[in-house]
Amino acid sequence: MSASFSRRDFFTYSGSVLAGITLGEWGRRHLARADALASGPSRLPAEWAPSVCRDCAAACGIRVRMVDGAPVKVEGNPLCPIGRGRLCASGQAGIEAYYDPDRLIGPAKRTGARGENRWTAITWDEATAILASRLSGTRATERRPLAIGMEERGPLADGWTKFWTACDARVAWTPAQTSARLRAGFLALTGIDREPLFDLEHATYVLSFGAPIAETWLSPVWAQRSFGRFRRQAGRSRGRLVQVDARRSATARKADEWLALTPEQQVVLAYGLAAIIARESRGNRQFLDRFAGNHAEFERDVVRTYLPDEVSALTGIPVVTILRLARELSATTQPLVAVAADASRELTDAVFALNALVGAYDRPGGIYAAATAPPDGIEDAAGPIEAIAAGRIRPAVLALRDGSALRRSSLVERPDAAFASADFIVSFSPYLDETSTLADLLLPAHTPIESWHAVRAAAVPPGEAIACAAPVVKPRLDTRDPAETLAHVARALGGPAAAACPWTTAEDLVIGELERVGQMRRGGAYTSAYETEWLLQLEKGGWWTSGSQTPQAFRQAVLGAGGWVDPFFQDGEIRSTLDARHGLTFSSPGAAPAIAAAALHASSSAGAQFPYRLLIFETSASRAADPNLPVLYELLGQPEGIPWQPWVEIAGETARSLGIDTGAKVKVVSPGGAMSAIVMVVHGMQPDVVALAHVPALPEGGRWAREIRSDSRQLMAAGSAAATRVRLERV
Amino acid sequence: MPRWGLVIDLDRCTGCQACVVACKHENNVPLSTSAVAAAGRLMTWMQLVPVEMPGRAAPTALPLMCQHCDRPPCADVCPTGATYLNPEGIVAQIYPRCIGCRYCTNACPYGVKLFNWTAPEWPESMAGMQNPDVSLRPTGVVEKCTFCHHRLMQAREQVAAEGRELAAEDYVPACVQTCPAEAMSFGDLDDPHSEVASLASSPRAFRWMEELGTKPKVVYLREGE
Repeated sequence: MSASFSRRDFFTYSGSVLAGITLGEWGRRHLARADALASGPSRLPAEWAPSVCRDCAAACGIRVRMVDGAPVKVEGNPLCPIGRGRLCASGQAGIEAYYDPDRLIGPAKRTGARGENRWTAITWDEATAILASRLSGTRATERRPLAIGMEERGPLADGWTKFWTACDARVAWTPAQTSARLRAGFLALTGIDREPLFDLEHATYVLSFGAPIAETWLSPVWAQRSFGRFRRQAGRSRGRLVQVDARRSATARKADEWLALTPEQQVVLAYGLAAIIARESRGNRQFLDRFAGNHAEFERDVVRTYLPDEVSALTGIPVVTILRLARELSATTQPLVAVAADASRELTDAVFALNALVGAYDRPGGIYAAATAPPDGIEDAAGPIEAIAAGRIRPAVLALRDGSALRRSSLVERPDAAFASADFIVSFSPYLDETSTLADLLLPAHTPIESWHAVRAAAVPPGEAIACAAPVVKPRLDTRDPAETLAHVARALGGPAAAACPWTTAEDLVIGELERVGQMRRGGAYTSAYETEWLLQLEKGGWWTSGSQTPQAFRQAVLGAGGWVDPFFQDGEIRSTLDARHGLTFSSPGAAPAIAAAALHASSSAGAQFPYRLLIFETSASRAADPNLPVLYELLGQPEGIPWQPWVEIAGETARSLGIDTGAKVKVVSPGGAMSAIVMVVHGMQPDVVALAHVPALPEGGRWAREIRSDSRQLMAAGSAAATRVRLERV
Repeated sequence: MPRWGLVIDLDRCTGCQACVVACKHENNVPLSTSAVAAAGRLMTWMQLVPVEMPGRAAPTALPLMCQHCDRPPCADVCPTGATYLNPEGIVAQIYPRCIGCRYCTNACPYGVKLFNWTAPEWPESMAGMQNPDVSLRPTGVVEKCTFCHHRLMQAREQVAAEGRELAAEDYVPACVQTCPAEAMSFGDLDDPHSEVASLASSPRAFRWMEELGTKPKVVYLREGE
C-alpha cells in the first residue's frame, strides 16, 4: 500500500463522511436519472465476443459475432461506456482487415533491391536473429535507431517504447486527434496539467472552431452520441451549433450557422468575440470575479487590439453578425466553445479564454478536467521524419509499428523516399505498402480481432477507461504481436534490452496491466449504463467497492466485458485549483490581427499563377488508420456521390469562373506537382480557397488501396502544407 | 399484427454513414471497386442522398433506403409477385420469383431497388464474413432493404423458446443498432405506446415524397428549430 496520501484518497475518506449528504436529495436526483438511462444488458450474449477497435485513439469497445468459429460481423459493445453499443463506419469495417486478401502471410526478408518487392519467407526465429544482429551492430554507431508508430497509450505501447529505448532508439508517434493535444492551452489558463473534457451533451449552445464534432472529434462515437443528445433530448430545448470552419465539413453542414474562415481568421474572430464580451461586460461575472487572475489585463488588451471594425475587415463577417454571436454566446445558460484537436496554439488559447469569459469551467455543458494525470509527453513523428527528409539524421535502423507515418497528410511529401536513407528498415505492418515495400525485414502483426488489447481510451466525459480484451480468433496467418516479437529480440540481444523487456507475450503485458488496475481498487469492469452510474454514485459517496474481487475474478470480469472504467471525476477540480493559484492565467492575445493580415496576404504575390489557397482535410472515411478497408472507399465524397476518389471543394464563384460544376474532373496544380480530382461546388466557401480531400494513394498497397492513384502530398512544395497555393485546370 | 416502421431524426443524424456499413455487412451486400462506382452500379441498400430542405443553407444528407410503402408502386407492377407488401407492412422481395424485368426499379420513385447486373463477388479470403442468415442474390434479380427481416425471424424463435412476447428491443435492424448519434428508432407504428408511434406524430415528422401517395413507413424528423 502506498504511504502517500493522494487527492483521490482524500476524496475517498472525506466522501465517506459526506455520504449521508450525497445520497440525500442530490443523490436521489442522480439515481433517478440513472434509472431513466437505458439499462441494457450487463453481459454479452454467448455468440458475441468482446474486442477493441484500434482504428483511432478512442479505443471503442466492439463485439464480434462468431458463427461456427468464424467472425462474421463487428458491432459496438453495449457495455462500453464510450459508445454503448454504437459504432462508427470505420470501426465496423474492421472485420475486413481480418479477411483482407492482401495481408502478409508471415515474416519475410528482402531478396531483391529495395523497392523491387522480392521477398523470401523466413521463420520467426530467423527474423528475430536478423533484427537482433542489426540492433547489436548499431550500438557502436552514432546513428540512433528510430521507431515510429500511431499514438497509443497503454502497456502494449509502453512495451514498444521500453524495448526501443533500451536499444538507445528515438521513439516517435504519429499524433492522435485526442484532447491530449489541447493540454497545453488548458494548462496555461488553469494550471492543471490534465486533459480537458468537453461536456458537449449538456451544452445548450456550441460555438465550434473547426471541431469536427459530427466526424472525428476527440473520440468519434462519443462525440456523435453527445451531438445527438445535445440536439434533441427529452425535457431540454434544442442545442444550437455555430461552426467556424474553412470548409463545409459534415459538422458545418449540420450547423445552424456556418462561418467560412481560414484558421488564421478563426483566431481573429475568437478574440474579436472576446473583445465584445469584455466591452459589453457580458462575461460570467460570478466566475470572472472569483477567479480573476490577470483577467482585467486580458480584457484591456483584447478590447484595445480587436476592434469590431478591424475584426470584420479581416474575417469578412459583418460587424452586426459578430456582435450577435458574442451576445448569443454570453446569453445562453450553458455555452461551450469547442476547438479542433489539431488547432494552432493561438486558436486553442483564444478558445480556452472564451470559455473562461462565459464561465464554462466545471459546470454541466462546459469543460471539466480529466481525473488522472496523463502519461508523459510523447514525441511527434513529424520532427524526426522531416529531419530524415532533410538529411539531418540517418537512422541505422528504422522501425515502423504500422503504416501511419506514411499516410498522414501533414507530413513531408514522400516519407517513403526519405526513409530510403535508413540503413535497415523493419516493418511490423500486417500489409505491404509504400514503406514496407522499402523494408528489409517484414514482421507482420496480427489484425485487431486476433490481438490482445489493453489500450487507454481517449479522455472523454464517461470517465477513465482502459479497453481490454483477449483475441477473438486465432491468427489466420503466421503473424505475431510486436510485443512478442520484440521480447524474442530482446532476449537474443541480452543486456539492457532483455532487462527492459521481461514479458514473453502480449498477453503478459495485458495481464500485468490488469493486475496494476486491480490494485488501484477503484472503478470496475465495463457494465450497463445503470450499473456504471451506480458505481459513480458509490465512489462519490466514498464507497470504493471494487477491491472486494479476487485478482482472478477481476481479470475475468474485465476481459469478459471488454474493459475497465472508473467513472469518477471531481467536478470542482478546476475551480479549486484556480482558487489555490489565484485565478486564471490568460495568454496575451498579442497583435494577432496584424499577424493574421500578414498570413492572409503573404502569398498574394503568387496570386496570378496560383490563385487559390490549398487546404487539405481528412474525413472520417479517409483518415482510417487502415487503408485496406474497402467499404470505406464507397463512403468518400458522400452524400454528393463521389465514391472511390479524391475530390476538391471549390466556391460557387470559382466554379462559375472556370465554367465547371460538381462532378467535373479538374487538375489541381501547385508549384510542387499536380493531381486530378473531382469537383464539389460548395456555396458559401471563400472564393480564394480550395479544399482537397486527402485520400492516401498507396500504389504499392493492397488491391483496394492501389485504386487511389494520387494524393495531396504530390502537391507539397518544400515547406508546410498550409502555405501551398494552387491553380485549377479543366480536364 | 405489428406494422413495422422506422423514424430517422435528421436533427440528430450526423451523416456519418455507420448505418451504410452496418447494412452492407449485415445483408451480404457486395463490396465495390472504383470501376463499379464509375459505372454507377454501387450496391448499397442504404445510402445518403443530398436534398434541399426549407430553411437549411446546406443540402441535408438524407439516409435513404426502401421506404416500405403502405402503397408500394413496385409491388403494383411486379408481374410475378416477387415483391409484395407482407402483412406486417414490410415490402418483401422473394429472389427466386424475381425474373429481373426491372419494372419495380423503374416504378420506385426512391430509386432504392437495385438490380444485380453481375453475380456478387468477394475475394476468396472474405467468404467467411458473409452472414449465414441472409441469402446471396444471384445475377438478374432485384434486391433492397428488408428492415433486416431475418432479425425478426430470429427474434421470434428466441422469444418462442423463452415463452414470452416479442419486446421492442428484440427486433432492431442493423442500421438502427449502430447509429452513433442515436438518430434512428424502429418499432410498431400501430402501437400507440411505442417510441416510433410517438415520434411519427411529432410536428417535425414528414415522409419523403409523400405527395406521391406511396404512404412510406420510414418517417423523417426535420432539422432545425
